[in-house]
Amino acid sequence: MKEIAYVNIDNKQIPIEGERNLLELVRKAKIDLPTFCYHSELSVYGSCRLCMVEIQGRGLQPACSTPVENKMIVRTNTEQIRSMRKIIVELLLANHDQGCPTCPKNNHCQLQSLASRLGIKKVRFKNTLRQGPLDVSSCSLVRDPNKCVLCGDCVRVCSEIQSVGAIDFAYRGSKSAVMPCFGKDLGDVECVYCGQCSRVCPTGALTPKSEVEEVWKDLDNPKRVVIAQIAPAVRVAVGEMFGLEPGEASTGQIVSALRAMGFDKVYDTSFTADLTVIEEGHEFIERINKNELIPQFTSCCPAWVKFAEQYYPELLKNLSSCRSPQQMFGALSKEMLSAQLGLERKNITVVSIMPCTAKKFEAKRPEFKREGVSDVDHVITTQELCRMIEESGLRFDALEPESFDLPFGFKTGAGVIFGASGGVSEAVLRFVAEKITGNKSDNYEFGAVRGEGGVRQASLILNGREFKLAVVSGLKNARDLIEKIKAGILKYDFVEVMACPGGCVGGAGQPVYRDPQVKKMRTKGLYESDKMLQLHKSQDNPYIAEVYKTFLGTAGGPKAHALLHTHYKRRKRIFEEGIRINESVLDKKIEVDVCFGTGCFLKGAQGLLRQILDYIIKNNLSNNVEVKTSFCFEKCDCGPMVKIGEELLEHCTFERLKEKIQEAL
Amino acid sequence: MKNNNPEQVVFTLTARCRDCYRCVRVCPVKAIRMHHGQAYVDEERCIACGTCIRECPQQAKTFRSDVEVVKRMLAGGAKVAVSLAPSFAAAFNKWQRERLASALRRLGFSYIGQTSRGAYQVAQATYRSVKNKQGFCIATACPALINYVERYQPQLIEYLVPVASPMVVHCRILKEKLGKDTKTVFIGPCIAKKSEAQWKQARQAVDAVLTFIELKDWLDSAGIDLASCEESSFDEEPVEMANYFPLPGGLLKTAGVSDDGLQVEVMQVSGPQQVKSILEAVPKNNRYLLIEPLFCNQGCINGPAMDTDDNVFKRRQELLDYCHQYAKESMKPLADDKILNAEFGQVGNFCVAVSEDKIQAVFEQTGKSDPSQQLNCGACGYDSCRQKAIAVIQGMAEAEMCIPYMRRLAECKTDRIIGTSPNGIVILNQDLRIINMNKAFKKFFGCMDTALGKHISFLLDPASFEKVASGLLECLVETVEFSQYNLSCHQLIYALREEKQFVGIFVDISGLRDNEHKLRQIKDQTVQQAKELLEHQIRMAQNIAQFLGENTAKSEELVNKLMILNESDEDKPGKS
Repeated sequence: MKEIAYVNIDNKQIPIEGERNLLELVRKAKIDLPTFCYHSELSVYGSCRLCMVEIQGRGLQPACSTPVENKMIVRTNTEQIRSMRKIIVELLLANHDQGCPTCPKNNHCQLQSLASRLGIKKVRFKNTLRQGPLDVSSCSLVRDPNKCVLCGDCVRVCSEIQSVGAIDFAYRGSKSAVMPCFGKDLGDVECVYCGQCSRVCPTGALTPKSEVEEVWKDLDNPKRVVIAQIAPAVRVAVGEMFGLEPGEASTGQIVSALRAMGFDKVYDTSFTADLTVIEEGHEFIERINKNELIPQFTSCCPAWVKFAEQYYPELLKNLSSCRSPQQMFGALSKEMLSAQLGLERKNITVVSIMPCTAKKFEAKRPEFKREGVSDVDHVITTQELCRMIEESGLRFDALEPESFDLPFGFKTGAGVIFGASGGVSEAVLRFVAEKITGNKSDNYEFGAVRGEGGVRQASLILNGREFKLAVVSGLKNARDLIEKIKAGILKYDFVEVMACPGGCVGGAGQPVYRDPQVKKMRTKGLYESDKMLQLHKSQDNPYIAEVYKTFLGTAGGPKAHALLHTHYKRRKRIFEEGIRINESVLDKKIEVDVCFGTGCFLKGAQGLLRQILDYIIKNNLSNNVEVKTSFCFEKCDCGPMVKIGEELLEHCTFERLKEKIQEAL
Repeated sequence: MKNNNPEQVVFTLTARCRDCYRCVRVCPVKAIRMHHGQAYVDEERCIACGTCIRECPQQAKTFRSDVEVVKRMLAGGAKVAVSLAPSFAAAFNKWQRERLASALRRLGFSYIGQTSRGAYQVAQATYRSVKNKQGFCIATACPALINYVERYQPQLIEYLVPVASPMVVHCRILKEKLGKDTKTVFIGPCIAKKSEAQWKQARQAVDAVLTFIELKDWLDSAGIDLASCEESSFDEEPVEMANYFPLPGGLLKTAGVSDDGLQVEVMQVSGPQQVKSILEAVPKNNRYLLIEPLFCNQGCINGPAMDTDDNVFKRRQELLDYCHQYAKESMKPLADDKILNAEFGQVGNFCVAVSEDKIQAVFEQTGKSDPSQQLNCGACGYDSCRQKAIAVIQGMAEAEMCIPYMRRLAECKTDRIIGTSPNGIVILNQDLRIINMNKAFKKFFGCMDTALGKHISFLLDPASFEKVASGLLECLVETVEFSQYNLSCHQLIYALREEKQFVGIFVDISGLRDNEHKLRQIKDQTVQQAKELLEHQIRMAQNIAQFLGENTAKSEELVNKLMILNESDEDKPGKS
């Protein structure tokens, strides 16, 4: 008989069953070894040194980066280890902003709970923190450098899971810090605002930006009609903050709480998710029929949209032009309610309750503004909703469930599963399958697109044609898949992309969790809700039909297009004001922007600039033409790049530019 | 004996039954069979109204649960549709109602319909039928009522409106709509619906019947909390008018028959006793009367399996609130009237006359031949001694159920025991006055019945009784000498706390005392004799010693004399 390999941990024999490192084995022994920098889905970093254990014959070793070996003898709790852990935490605190009660992470902070766990009553070291300014430049996230413990979780999640790499370590030694490139603000770099960094941050160094105060202000303003929309993934997570199991839907209690806070109408984003299905499904069928712009990428996830705008502008036309359910809701509700209730748009406040930090950014995109008013005024995360409930003093678990308002409160199961990765695809399939085959079917479940993997594929045959789908979550997965599609290795008709692993249930706005089980339970909760609802296909939603009949006209029609669709733009990854070379005082002027990035510089941008300035002076055009230099148009292979007006000139020469200026004059 | 058949709708949990006869008393059709003091529900006679379940103080009556049957249907992969009775609106409050469909789907049901859609058709058909007939008509959706008429009022069967119940009609509609393979489960407040589902006409339509009690238990055990279910609609909207069905007069209202409660031709009645008395009283040659009886008082919202803490008033409000939520709606008439078919016929033969001789024989057995002994007290559960006697003959009741008879019997026995006891027994009230004493006591203490009512101190030292009366002691056992009565007794005194009485039992041990005296005398005598013997022997010894001494002395004297003589012979020579 083969002997079972084991490790002796604190006098207990723990069998080795494929654990990747000693830390996992220690945790299997039901010992909660503290860590800041270890996340099972990220690479092992070993920087926080909190998981040090004593291995017989080897002394102190970090458990996270030590492979397990048979018959190791491990102690996790010796005098030396305890005192070392205390010193580590004390040192961290000595360089930490200790304003815990006012920190957004208060009560959920791992440093705070660890200090309390280790019984640290006094920090023996002098506080050496040099208070730095908060980075509030982005509308989604707040970066507080004073609370960073340099565990690097955010850095790794951003590059390993999302392949964005918007933040990294800068400087060395005691000056080390985590920040965006060139010390820029988060709002000016390629951050897609998915917020996964804030999800893994053990302290309050990265947190979702709160809009709670703005919401209270509007609720307190008697002139404003405040309406709420609740995203699907929120309902299966709010309860976690109030003692319910993850995945247990508390929709009725949320509605009840919102009414108590003073919301005038409470609606369900799942309703506009149903609407999204219809619009997106129509668009898909149209593309299939015309056989163009295939594959169609989903566009519900704002982080993915920004990602595509930055890295894959050539694919933007493949993205569904549909707005996300949040924005469809904003546009539709403001339009319909202002007419129905006889209100001015500016007196209606739409508050979204989202599992997502990127939705805050999405709501503020200029495309989603009409008559100077945003379609969605405020976006609060699930966490912020919980905070508002706590602030109100409502006993959430004891609230009597209430119902959504109609018509935007009525949804089908398809609109609910949007909150899980694969949900959008399945919802669209439920529509497309019936539309293409022309047959009504009782079956509504497409199990093939469900699952836990970050990349899933499915194919089904409708009317003799095979449809291939891919469902990805995590932008690194998306990037890999897109590269393969671009290389012609893979071919799909429909690709669903969600930035957060597992979809919106794992969004950064959700209550903080560390157990990976939590996400699965939330997902299960959504699919159960789908099962429990009367209708499961968006096309069966009678209120959607009603909205088309009375308001929108036909699906994909002009009014629907104006309200429910959008466009995307190529987006620079890093924003920087250009340097003005000469300034014009005239209103009607020609703007010439010469790229001075490395690529263009090497290809002669400087010479081009000198020539064009000489030309302007010679022809006395300095009042008509304004020249500036910019940092990188991100078309380095086509340099030198010059932008004149809105037109981009690749491989620009002086002659061509001169022609263009004359043309413009 | 056919008892507790697993298929039986209502049955007794024998372990809990404490033969109180409450079920016999409340059963409107006396379908409770008593056997060795244990109540059983007679399946043939039972109309499954559920009254005994409600009333049994020991919760020893219950009904068959069909949850497992339904679970098996679902597990077998069948498509199972629910027909939900409109009274659900009285069993669940508003927010629960909005989430009930979700919870049912979570249990696995694939279609949640509302029985009121069947009820609407039933009401329309009833109206047509009544209009055509122009005579006495009984219109009801109540299966307990039909069970009752078929068994106990068979002469009224021809007046039942021949339309199936909303449950059956709706389940037929469901099967037609969703396919013959679809299973149907009715969920309602009614236990009799379980028996209706076994009727010939319903068997094809209704695959199982659950009550709200079973549903709530099932949800609990499955860990489904209505509060955490997504709100959702039923697969069928209710029909507003037909939602009145669970209330008395609801059928009439849905059928469009106006009833202000004071009309000659229309009446509605609910509650078992009220229904029985009206149906027994109504003349059969009635010119024109439409009557709508419901067996449960206040209608189905007060059904035996409602399972709500709300009182009937609140239930009625909830139901009416729910009714008013829906706009008046009418439905298309059914394509095929066959869906409405129903047949009724006599079941069993329980109205047979019993001969007077047999009744008299039972009376004799229970000491009731004398009409003055027929108290008709109802303690046995039957309304009269005669009815109980008939039940005894039919094997439904036992002679021992008559409490006055059993009491007399018991009293005879206890009286004799006390009366004939050789021990004196006295019973005192809380003031320690004598309320009862037996013959032996009277003899011991030389008193007559005139001592009744007197304080115990009149006869003997009350100290012991007072000790027990003070509560210090529960029971006192001692031996007492009553010298003035020349009596010695073991006395046992104890309290009957509930009755606030005290009992004294006196065991005469005077005889025993005399025997002891004699024994002691004998003992004393024996000792005396032994002493005397000893003294005598000492005296003898002393005498013997005396004689011996005297003798020795005499011998000594003699020898001395001889020696002197000898000496003197030697002194005188001349003699030789």
